[in-house]
Amino acid sequence: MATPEEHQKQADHNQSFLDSIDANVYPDWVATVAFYRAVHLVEKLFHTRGHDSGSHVRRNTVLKRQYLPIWREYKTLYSFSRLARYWCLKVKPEHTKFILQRLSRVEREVGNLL
Amino acid sequence: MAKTASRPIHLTFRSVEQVVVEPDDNDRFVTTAAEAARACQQAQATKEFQEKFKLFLGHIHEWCKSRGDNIESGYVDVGDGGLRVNICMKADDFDFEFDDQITELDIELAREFPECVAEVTQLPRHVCRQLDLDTEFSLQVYGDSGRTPEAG
Repeated sequence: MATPEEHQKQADHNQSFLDSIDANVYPDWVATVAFYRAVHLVEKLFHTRGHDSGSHVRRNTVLKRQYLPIWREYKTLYSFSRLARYWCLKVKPEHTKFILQRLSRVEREVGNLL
Repeated sequence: MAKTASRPIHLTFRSVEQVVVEPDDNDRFVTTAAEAARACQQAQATKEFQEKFKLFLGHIHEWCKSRGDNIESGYVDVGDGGLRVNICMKADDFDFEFDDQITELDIELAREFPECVAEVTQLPRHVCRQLDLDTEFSLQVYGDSGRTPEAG
């Protein structure tokens, strides 16, 4: 099981990758990488607070029941990136500003609790 | 007149008495009163869940109906970790502003129907069409397709 520090390191790693993506060419990957940065930030919070997650379903349930301000921002990242990954959603460059906005709010909400 | 007809049969979980159960097809069997009591409790729980599930479907229907300008149809099926509520949009593009309302529905359902663990997702029209949600494994709770929730 990864430590909070390792989750932060992976979140930072994903942020570096996110910064390197050309959103005009790969807007779908912006959505996916942004979501996985959010996952690691949430996992860091969960480890700090003693929650067990282990799956998207479990993580989502804990967020929905106990961390509504985070869930309100994270939910769209989760749904949108899943549509992009599995259901070939037509992701456009103009979508990325909404994605990054949600990610920024997740960072803020998680930061408020750590 | 048999006086015993008005007395309720008392089944308890501690009872060791035997009970003869005679179904309509006369395929009778013997069980214990404790087992019969547990079966009754399970049947009651199933009935309560079915009633709650109908309210759950009705809630989603009303929610979609009140947003009919944006929503084409709504479906409920079973996913990996619970129920999936798929909201099919009239537009082809993902609507980020509308997704806030989808998230609020997701939260409402979790709060009001904790027995029905569900995840609500907005599906743009082109995604909805490629998924073919109108199958025997899903319930259409809103929109026109010739199938109704009652039809299953």
